[in-house]
Amino acid sequence: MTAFIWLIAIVLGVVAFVVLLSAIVAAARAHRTSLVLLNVLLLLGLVAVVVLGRNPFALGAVALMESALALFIVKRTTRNAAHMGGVMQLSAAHCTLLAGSLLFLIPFAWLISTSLKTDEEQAIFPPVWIPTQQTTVAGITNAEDEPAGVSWYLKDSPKQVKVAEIANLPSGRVLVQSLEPQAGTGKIEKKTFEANRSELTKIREVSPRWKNYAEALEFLPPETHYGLTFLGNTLFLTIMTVLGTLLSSSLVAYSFARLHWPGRNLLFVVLLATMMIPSAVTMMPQFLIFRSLGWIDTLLPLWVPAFFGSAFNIFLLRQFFMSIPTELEDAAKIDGCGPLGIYWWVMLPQVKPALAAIGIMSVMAAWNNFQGPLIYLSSPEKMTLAYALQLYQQQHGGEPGLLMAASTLVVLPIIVLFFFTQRYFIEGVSLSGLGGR
Amino acid sequence: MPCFSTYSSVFCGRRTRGNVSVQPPIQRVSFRLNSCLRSWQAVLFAVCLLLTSFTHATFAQESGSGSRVKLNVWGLQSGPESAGLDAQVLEFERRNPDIDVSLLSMGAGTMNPQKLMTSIVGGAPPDLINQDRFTIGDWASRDAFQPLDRFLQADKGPSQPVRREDYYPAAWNEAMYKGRVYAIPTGIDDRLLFYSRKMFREAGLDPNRPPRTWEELKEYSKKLTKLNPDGTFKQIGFIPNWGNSWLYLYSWQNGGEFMSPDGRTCTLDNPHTVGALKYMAEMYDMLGGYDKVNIYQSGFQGAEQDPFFTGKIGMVINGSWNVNTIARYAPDLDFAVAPPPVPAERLEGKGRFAGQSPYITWIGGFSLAIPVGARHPNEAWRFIKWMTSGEAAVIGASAQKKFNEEKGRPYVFDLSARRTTNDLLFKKFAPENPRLRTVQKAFIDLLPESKFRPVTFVGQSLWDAHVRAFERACQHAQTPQAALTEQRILVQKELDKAFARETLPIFSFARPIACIVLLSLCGLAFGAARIRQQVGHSRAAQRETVAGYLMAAPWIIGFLLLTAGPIVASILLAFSDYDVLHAPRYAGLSNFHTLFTDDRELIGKAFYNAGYLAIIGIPLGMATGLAIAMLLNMKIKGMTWYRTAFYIPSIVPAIASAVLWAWILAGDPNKGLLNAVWRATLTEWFGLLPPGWFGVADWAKPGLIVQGLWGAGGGMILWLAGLQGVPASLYEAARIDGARGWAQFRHVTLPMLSPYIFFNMIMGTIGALQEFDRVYVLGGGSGSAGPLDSLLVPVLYLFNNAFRFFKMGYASAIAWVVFLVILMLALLQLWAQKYWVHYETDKR
Repeated sequence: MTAFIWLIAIVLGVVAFVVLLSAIVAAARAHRTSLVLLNVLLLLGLVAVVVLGRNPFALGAVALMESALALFIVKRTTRNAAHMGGVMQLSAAHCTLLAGSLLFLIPFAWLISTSLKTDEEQAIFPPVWIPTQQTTVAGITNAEDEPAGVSWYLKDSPKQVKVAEIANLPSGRVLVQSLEPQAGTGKIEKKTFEANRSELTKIREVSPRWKNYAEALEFLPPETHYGLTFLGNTLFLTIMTVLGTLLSSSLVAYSFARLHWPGRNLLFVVLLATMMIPSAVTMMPQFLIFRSLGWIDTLLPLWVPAFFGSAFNIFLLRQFFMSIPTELEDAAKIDGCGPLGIYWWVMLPQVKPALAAIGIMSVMAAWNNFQGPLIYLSSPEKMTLAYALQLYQQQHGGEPGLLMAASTLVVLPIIVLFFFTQRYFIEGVSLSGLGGR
Repeated sequence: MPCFSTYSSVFCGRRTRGNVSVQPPIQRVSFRLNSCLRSWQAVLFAVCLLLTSFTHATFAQESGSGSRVKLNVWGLQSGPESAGLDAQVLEFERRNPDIDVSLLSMGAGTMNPQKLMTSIVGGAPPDLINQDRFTIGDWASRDAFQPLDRFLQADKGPSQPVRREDYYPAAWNEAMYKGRVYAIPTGIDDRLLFYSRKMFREAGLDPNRPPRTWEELKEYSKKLTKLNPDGTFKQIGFIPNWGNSWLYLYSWQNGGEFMSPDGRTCTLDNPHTVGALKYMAEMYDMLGGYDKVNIYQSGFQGAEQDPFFTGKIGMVINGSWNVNTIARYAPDLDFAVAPPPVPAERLEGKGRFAGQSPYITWIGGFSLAIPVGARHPNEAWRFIKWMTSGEAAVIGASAQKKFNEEKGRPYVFDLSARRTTNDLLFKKFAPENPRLRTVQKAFIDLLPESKFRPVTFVGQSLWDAHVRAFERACQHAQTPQAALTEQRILVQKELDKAFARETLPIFSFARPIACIVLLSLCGLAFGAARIRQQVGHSRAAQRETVAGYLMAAPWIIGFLLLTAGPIVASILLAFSDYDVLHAPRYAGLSNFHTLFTDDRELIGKAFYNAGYLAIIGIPLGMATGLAIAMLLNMKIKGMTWYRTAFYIPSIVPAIASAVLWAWILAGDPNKGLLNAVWRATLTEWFGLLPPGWFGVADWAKPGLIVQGLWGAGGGMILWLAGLQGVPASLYEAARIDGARGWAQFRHVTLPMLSPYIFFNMIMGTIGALQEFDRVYVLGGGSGSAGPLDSLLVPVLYLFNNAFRFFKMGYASAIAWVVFLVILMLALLQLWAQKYWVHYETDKR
């Protein structure tokens, strides 16, 4: 029953929020500053009830009242019913979008937050978002030669004593050193004693554990140079794949689109048909072929096929080439250009947006390729980022801090690339979607 | 721009006009191309290229250079805790300056048989592998490991370093297959009964008198079990299968065996094993049933919180490694060990047990083996000899002891499969704590009386079968007899199939391939003739034909080599039995037969799971994407920001996303982000407990769908393009007709978007049936398919058969079934689209 009441209260609260927001928008548009302020106050009141009250009835009642008031303000400040509807709709859309986009970004925040927390904090439930660590004291080192952590020590006496943890003893007790200044002299006396774990409360301060990143890389086999090899391999694969795909696919597409040769249409139908064949069918025989070439545990099987063109990209580019007016080509022909010259100087520049989009899609495919490396690679110095991350997860599944640090390092380059080439990403998706129609 | 003119002269062969001063339009185009590469793009590209070539070149050189032999070892994990191993390797390298040992510490190797098998089959295996002895029979039967007899023979003499007599017979025999030695044992672990002296005293039992017979064990267990007022367990005396005992132990104690001596017959349902399983079931019943115990058991934790340390369980049969855990986390625990209790008859040496030792245990452990195709077998053998020597054991033990003591932990040495080494280590490194010392001694003393799991290539199946039989019998889903018989039949089938395989005829691919090549040559000749005929005698047409074919050549060659050829090969493979290491055999339709009879359940499950993901996941994904797109299409301010926020998750690499979500959707109800939200809301309001996500069968697929939804923003872009293509006039007309909100969406938006919906459905279906990457990660990695195969999807099933078990023929058969299903679904949707997909062009 309480659950039900809560649900109703929350729905009412959300509605009130949306209405209040639209009231603010409407008032602002009508240049009624006092009403905007009033609305903001109402909004703050609602938030206060949610944060402080924690009572479904109070929340519901306040929400209802404020909704009514805000609705009235909206009505007063808008011209007519349609206008009012528009404002409310827009506000609702903004609210939904804002909430939705935050929801979609939370996993990223969680990724970063986890990658900066200590192992101790990972176990806290419900989880904490801001990483904290035990405060350390300079000048005093513990058994591991790191600055000693500071805790409150509380036993018998009503006063807490600040102590530095020196060492964990085999008996389960902790060797600590007092940090309190001596009464009277004000000097810190180097007094050590043993304490039970339960008598110590760690003093924490907000501080991300950047060491997770360093440690995550240190755990990698030495021959991978802190994972640089993985990055190098992945970059190499990506560049070769993109080069191969763009060159071969556009060349073949040009031939299919613009040159007249017998058998062209038949072969084009064959090309379309190959798009239907799932990769699973050719996976085993391809493995056997690459094996007979001695290419297992090399990067060759992962990028050489790109130089033979991919059916889908050929199809896409062919559509683009077909749409280019023949006048350009004829002019080049008159100037004495051969087919290769026309392809390179005339046709390619015309389809640059498509090439960029296909290039981006190839980058993504190569960067994220997992099945290929899983089948063909086994030496650590040959591995790619995606595969190395999966292996890392198997080995360090119990250390989320390190694992998430490693994940962040894998995700980061692709996000950075996205921010630089956002337009082509978007175009690439629309392109591949439209091309398949 | 001199470089461009040279290029253009190369590409433009037929320059008819000699006048250079007239700039052809081509050059202008080329300049545009150049200027279009904005400066930062060029810089970015150059940096990437430089970085790649740098890292690639330097590292490639490094790994190739040097006169020292690089010995690749898999399965020996070097890490922050492996001080002993590191010292041993360092000392080996010091004594053998010509060898450079490289330990692969990235999870591959021991835990990932697929990786090892692929590398062996692919001809690039490690030189040495530290492998679970239990699986040696399997690897040997596939000829994946080298027999080591030739090395043993060559070393014969008075000071032979590796001698059979030095080892415990069980350990040595476990590494033998068909009379040959395939691996040299390293570590060993046996099992004893640990009991809490404190809990014994509390229950009024004599702490110096552990139970000795099965009956006593039951009685003690009853006395030690205490309930809370609500009927749940406060503490429990003994759980038959908690720790490490398994049906194997009880069966051997009762005189049971699992395989006939010749290895051709499985004897899982012999009366002694049935008796042992009955005993286990009775023990569970006495405690209140398997399920009740299981619920109690699911709250058990590890390390400091081990139930045995915290007094939640009074007796447990566990392995020798547990002494180390106790030394580290509970050095003051008041406990003792005793041989696992046996049937009373055995203790008295009566009847069939006459002349047998009263107590027995069973062992497991690792061993070093050399894969077939290893590049440096001799160096590998030298490393084996070193690692199994007493000297290396002492070096390792002292280094590890020093490391442990620096960390303030007592040191307990790991048991060796070599008797002499154990004696040596016990003399020098016996634990100082008298209790641990006695315990360590007890473990060593029972080693000679140990059994080992049968060496057979069906070892894993036998293990899985015995676990299933145990679960079903103890849950009373079946009687012990029925459960064991059913499982025996399954194992026997696999045995028979393997033996029948040898009788199949060798399948030579040469003849069919020759036929196909001949046929295609004929076709080519015919085609060439036709082309000649069609082209005629015009030189221009001839030139264009040649150019056309040349330019399409990359795809034509790729098609023949990487698509057409493999398709033909795949068809041939589907009718053969081929494990790559041996010649293929003709199997007729048996691959398909197995698929639709014995493995019907599995493949059915795989398609069911794919269907589940498709039927629930695709519409949800589409709805999410469309909803976002419709909101964004309202000409909203900040649209770019929203679009980016929604889109970014879809570009996160699938593996990284899966790794992240495995942590967001943690299986432990007290961990994970979503579980925290769940607890704060659903648990709070409705009392629903958070699910185990990828840890439980029912929630693994929903978890996968949630993870997939995170990437729904990718589809949003497409929806947005579709929405923007809907003419505004249609909406206006609808408004005039009085259509608002839902009616507008239903009658204008949806029909106009139907081609997109159709496209998404087709692509989604194909994608769902080919799902692999994230399932591989979330299923647990190394090919496991989640609890109860709840994440088994067709391509994972295929991948496991192809690259874990190397049943290339069977995998090809699966591939064709997958292909046919995809084809059928695509055709079905193509047919159905006539009735609901609306194309604007139709009306013209």
